[in-house]
Amino acid sequence: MLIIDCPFCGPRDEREFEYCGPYRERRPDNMDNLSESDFIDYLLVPENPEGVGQEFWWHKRGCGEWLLVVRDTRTHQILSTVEADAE
Amino acid sequence: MPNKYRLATGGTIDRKVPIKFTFNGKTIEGCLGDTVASALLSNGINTTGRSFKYHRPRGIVSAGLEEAGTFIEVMGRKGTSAVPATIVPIEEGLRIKSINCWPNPNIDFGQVLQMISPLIPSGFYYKTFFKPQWKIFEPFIRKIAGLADIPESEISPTTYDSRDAHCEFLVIGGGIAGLVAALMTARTGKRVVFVDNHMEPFGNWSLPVNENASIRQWVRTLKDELNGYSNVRILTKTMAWGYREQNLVLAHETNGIGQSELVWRIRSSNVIMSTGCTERGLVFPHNDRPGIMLASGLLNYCNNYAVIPGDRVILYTNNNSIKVLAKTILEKGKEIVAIVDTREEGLSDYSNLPGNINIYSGHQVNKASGWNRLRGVIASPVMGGKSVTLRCDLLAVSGGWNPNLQLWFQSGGSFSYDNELATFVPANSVQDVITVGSLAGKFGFVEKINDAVQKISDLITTVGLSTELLQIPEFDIPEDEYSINPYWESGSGDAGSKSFVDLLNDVTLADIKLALREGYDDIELVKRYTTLGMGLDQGKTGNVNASGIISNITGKTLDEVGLIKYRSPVSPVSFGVLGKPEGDIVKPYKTTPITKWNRENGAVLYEAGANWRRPGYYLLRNESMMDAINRETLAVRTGLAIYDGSPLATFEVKGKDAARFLELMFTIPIQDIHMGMGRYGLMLTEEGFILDDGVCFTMAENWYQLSLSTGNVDLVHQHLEKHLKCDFAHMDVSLTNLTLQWMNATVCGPEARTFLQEFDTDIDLSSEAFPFMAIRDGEFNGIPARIARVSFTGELSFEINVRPRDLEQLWGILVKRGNNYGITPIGSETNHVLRVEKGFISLGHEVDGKIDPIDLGLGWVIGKGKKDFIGKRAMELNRTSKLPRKELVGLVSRYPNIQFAEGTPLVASEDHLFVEGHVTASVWSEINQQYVALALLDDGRSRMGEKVNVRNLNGIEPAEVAKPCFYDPEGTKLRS
Repeated sequence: MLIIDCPFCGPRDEREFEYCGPYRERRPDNMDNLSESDFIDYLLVPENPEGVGQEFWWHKRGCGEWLLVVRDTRTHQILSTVEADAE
Repeated sequence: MPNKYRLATGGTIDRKVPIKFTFNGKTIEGCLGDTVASALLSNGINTTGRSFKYHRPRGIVSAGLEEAGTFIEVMGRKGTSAVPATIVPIEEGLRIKSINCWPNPNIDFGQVLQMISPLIPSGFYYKTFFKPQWKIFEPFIRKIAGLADIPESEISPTTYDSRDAHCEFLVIGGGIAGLVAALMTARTGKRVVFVDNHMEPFGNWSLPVNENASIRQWVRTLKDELNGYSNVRILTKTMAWGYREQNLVLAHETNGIGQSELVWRIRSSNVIMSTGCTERGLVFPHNDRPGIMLASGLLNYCNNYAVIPGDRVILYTNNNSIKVLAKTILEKGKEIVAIVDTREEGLSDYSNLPGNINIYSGHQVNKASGWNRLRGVIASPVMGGKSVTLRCDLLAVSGGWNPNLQLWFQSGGSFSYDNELATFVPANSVQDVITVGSLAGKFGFVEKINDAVQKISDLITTVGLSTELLQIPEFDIPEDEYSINPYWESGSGDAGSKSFVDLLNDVTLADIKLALREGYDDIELVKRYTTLGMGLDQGKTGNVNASGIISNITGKTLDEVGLIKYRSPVSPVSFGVLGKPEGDIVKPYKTTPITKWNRENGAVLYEAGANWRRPGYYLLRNESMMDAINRETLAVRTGLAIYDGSPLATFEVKGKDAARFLELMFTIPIQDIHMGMGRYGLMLTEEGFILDDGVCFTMAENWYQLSLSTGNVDLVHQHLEKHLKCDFAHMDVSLTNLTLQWMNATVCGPEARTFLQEFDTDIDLSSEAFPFMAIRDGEFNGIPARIARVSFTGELSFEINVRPRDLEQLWGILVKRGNNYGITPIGSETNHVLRVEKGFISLGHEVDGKIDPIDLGLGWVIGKGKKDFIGKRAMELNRTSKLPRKELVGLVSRYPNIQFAEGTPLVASEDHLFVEGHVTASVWSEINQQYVALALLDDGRSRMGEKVNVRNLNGIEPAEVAKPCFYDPEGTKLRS
């Protein structure tokens, strides 16, 4: 079980959060004229690295914010936690 | 004679309090403070179980968690399976059974396996019993395999719970190093948790250092001081069994068999491990005979339980730690026949022992004799020479000491082989953890204390704290340098004599050799091929020997061979304590505000989606469930009914871009939904499958309300949130889950409007002013309400939404005034029947995650002109395949009383059982007086009127494919 350092609430237990999948690029705006291969890349080829990867976590039972967590899947070390849509 | 082997004095047991229990039906008497193992040993019961594979007789080999010889089953209400006999305290009336033997350990039917053992080497089961023979052998193998029966009692009286703890310092293990560490960290004033699996920290008085008065005195002052700190939590009888990421340690606290059990999740900034070390055995032929035990085990039985279970004792060792045992046995007045020591230089170690003991230094044991009881050993010089036969009934062995690396391994720490100590010691840590004491390879008493003091001082300084220096007195104890000559195996290699490396799993030297010969040359592969180090004891006493043996055979160094990875848990933990903890606290059941009324009115309540506990149906006197559902469905179809629809998922979507957002989330056009009106739509996943269905209402400009399914609310919430936050963060939209803020009473049936018009309300309920799919805000009988004309039953229906605090009042008024109409409360089962009659889809039935709108005949729900919505592109791509689609159809039988059970497959023909679909829902339709079913069938829509074959339990049943609607297909009643 992880401790996730929510930028809004501080370090909180994993049970307050929901894991919401690996990071993927923002959904393309031009979905209707995207090429088939680009669409399939978007839909079915998310990154799944052994090692450092980015993930979406939802602080559902906390502040309700969406977080982008950088985690090493081999050690579970969390390298950073930021707001998901902070651009 | 009871307690034949009990010494007259000594021990921590209370001889004045006898306790009787039964072992395999025979009454055994022990005394207060005994474990099952010590009580059996004191009564001279040697053969206490049978081994797992060969069913060889086994005895007790240790006095602790490392036990690999005897596992027992505790019977009765507090029953538990397969626990080491060494850790179960006896209680009056306890019933104990040994495992792996039938009918009892002395006459065991499975013993026949021993005779054919040359035929069943490692991998035998894998190699031999694959199909088709497996079926023939399975019943026999199942009977003799397995470790214990399932407890007799269905529900254990044990209470299980879990707790979280957070601290700056966690000290695991209550030996002297742990005690010093706990006290030094306690003095910092920070939160300290101190975990020990004994009755009290430093409570094992079997250690000879405890006989030293100055040490006892000093330890007492340490404990007294520690007990005085309010920042320290001491958990005794608690075993740390798991080490997870970010210094999360799991510990199991128990009060004994059948008592309360607690799992602790302890998160600590720093972990100090002082888990000590465990003695390993020696590998020689027939080293499993009852009467052979670890020297440390025997020492423990001597000192704590006052038991020496034999009259003629031999000690066999490769190191000098056995000296303490020799001295103790002699002091207790027992005879030591001989000491066999593999070290040439061993002789001098025993020069101080009184009496005349035969010391065989530079000797090894070649073989043990006896069957149910050890009779003697044959020893010979290591360098070769004449062998000697020695008669004995108790053999204590010591193969050296291994630091208990289990938790260290789990923390990710590395290890290395220490030549001096002939074992593996911790090397580099990955997490914030340090090791102290014998775990760190410091075996001397003063050495351990100094090690702890030094490392804890450094740690405290490193984390920026300070502590008072611990004063260590001068102790008057001899500190012998630990001396060991690694000795991994001995004796003849003939096939008939088995040398056990892993006693619990019956893994022999020959098995390891076979595995290496067959190419399983990595130690982890050897483990998987032979089952070495698996099972209940996780190889606590055997694994290092296995590494040594592999090193001998392969010529690799021990660092290259490594050690079998220790996995969680360190020792078995009950399922109860793992399964229970979260339960009702984290995910409690939800109930609606009229639950009290429901209970008083015959409602049968159970979970129906998203943790809501709600009425399935309402039972009147003498009614069956079926009667009740039929009565309720008829009320909806012909009269007036009321349904508590509060759990329906409700979301509010507001903001400048709300419509734009919803256009992307739904299949339907949103912008043109008129104010005060709703539209039925579907929500797809990006993969193009249906996620949920529901109605989107336009409340005002930039203000929408979604009314969705109960069951999927969490998933849908996440779906909406994720797209909003991760894809459309630039949009001005706010999304709020109002599921628990709006409760509703749904009034339905042909008489619904007439009835509701009797009430005082500012909402015009006439069909002109309030058409199907409209939503209106106003007051209903003085209660603020939002009424929606949607229907999940196919009848005229008004959903009266109110604040939770108002529902009870609203419900009361409606039920009271509705008496004249025969108003009938209905439950979710009835709702299910009604929706099947209408062919309305339901999550988990027709919507199974692999279905798109067109499959369900809902192509009309897809906005024709829409360029994009979530799932559109994937759905279109999926549909380019020419494979048949599972399409929603109705199924009816020629005979009204034939039911096609839910989930039943539809097959191509009686001969060809190719599955072309399945029944998704099936109900008795009271209004049609027949069973009706919905099904998903390959290309079903083009097969109307065709016959299909339903593979019911008792054979193939023909059915006719029909339109998936069995009531009011035009929907005139719905819109009336």
